[in-house]
Amino acid sequence: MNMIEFRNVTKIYEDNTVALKNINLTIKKGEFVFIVGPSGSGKSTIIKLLIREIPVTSGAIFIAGRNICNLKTSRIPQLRRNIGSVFQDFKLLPNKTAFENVAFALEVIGKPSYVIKVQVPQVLKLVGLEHKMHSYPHQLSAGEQQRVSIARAFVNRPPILLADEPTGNLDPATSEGIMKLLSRINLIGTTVAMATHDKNIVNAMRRRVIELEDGEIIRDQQRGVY
Amino acid sequence: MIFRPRYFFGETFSSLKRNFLMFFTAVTTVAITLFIVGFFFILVYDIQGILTSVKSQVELAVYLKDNVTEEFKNYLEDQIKKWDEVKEVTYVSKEQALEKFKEENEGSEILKEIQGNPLPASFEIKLKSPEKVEQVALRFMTKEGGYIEGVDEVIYGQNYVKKLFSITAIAGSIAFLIIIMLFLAAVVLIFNTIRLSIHARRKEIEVMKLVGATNWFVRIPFIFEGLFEGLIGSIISVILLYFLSSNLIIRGEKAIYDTLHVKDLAILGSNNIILYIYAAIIILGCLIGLLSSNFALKRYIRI
Repeated sequence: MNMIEFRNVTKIYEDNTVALKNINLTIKKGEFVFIVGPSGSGKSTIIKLLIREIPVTSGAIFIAGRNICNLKTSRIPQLRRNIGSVFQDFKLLPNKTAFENVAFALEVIGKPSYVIKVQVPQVLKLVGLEHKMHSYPHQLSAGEQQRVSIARAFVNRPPILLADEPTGNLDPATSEGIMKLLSRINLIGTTVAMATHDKNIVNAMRRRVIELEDGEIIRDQQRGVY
Repeated sequence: MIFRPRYFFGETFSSLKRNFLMFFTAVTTVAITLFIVGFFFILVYDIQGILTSVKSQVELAVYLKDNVTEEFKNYLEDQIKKWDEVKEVTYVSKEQALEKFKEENEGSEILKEIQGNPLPASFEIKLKSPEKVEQVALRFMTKEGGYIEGVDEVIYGQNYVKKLFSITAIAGSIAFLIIIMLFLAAVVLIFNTIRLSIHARRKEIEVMKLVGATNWFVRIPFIFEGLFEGLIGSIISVILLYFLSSNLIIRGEKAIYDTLHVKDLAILGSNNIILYIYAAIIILGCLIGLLSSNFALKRYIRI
């Protein structure tokens, strides 16, 4: 089953920069995919298109068989609840603890507090932060902050997890820990797509690699390297 | 969307706690600007009251020639009563005029000089709208510029009345302009303050959108907050106005009432204008808070 499918997707930004040129791409359920390429090659654009942060210029994107390009604005939140996303800058709220940051994702989608009390510690345990639940982001290391943001992305058990340069701000050892965590999440059955330009990580993982250059796919390789 | 008041109130108050400085700024802005608008409104209202009362004292005196017959007098009186502009007509006969004159000048040398009755009979005409005094006066004139038959003279303080009306018209429009401008300034200031406080929390909004919050879910806590800031700010400005008006303004109004007998005043007046001003300030405060946060949010919500 195709979890993600791009059909002839072109994205031109308002300033006429062409970010993606006629992209065709399918990602199957349960796959782990690296999207690689230099800065400005269109990696982040793919992530942004998938969560409908920006609209496509032409073409269509299907998630679990559904075209998300003609989604009504009011249906976008529903889409995002099914896609966990992780970013280079973590996007944690500084005035909430690790627990509250993760709980926030559940509160926002209307989960009752008894569910929150059970699910949040569970997912924080999964990312190895059960002992730092009540720390604020500034009391955590960068790696720990990224774990909190992964916990937040995953707490709702979405079928897809997108990661945009999740190790961009981390040292190699910490990055390795994050990659192990993402692998575990993938093993549970989550489809993971990760944009990165971290050579070592891609080479170590030996997963499918899609390489972009100037908005075009120049390589799509199973068990590839950077 | 399921409405969960506990979450929304909790979010509103915890965010107020966290963003106290922003909250404080917004409330102070609302309080001060609306206080100034309210204070100025009272001031303008009282000035208008004084002007209206001065205007209402404008009346026409139509002096009749001594030779007019009773029939003519009655005919003229009936005609005047039919005019739309006229509020009240009083006939003052020669005898009444003399009596009044004697009363007003009791003990004066002049009375000894008077022989017979030199005073004319007259109509005293009060108008519904004093601005029309000139039009009414013209009805006693002929096309050639003289007075109509039987009328000796019409007096209404021609020059004084013209000046008075132009002054009140100018004062009225200036006051209106100033109030509008003050109000606009208040709206812009409040809007900007609330916008800034939302801007300071754009990251929170971004995260909410990222994890799939609906627009309304993002909006409601902010709108509650804006409403709350407007409410608290306007209540403070009403309290300030209350203290100012019950100490300072009321004394001024007493003086005006005692000297000019102006009835239509904001505080002392019988129709309790001050209460309407208080209510208007609170309603406006809430509305501005609510709408400001709603409009300011639009920019950040559309992702």
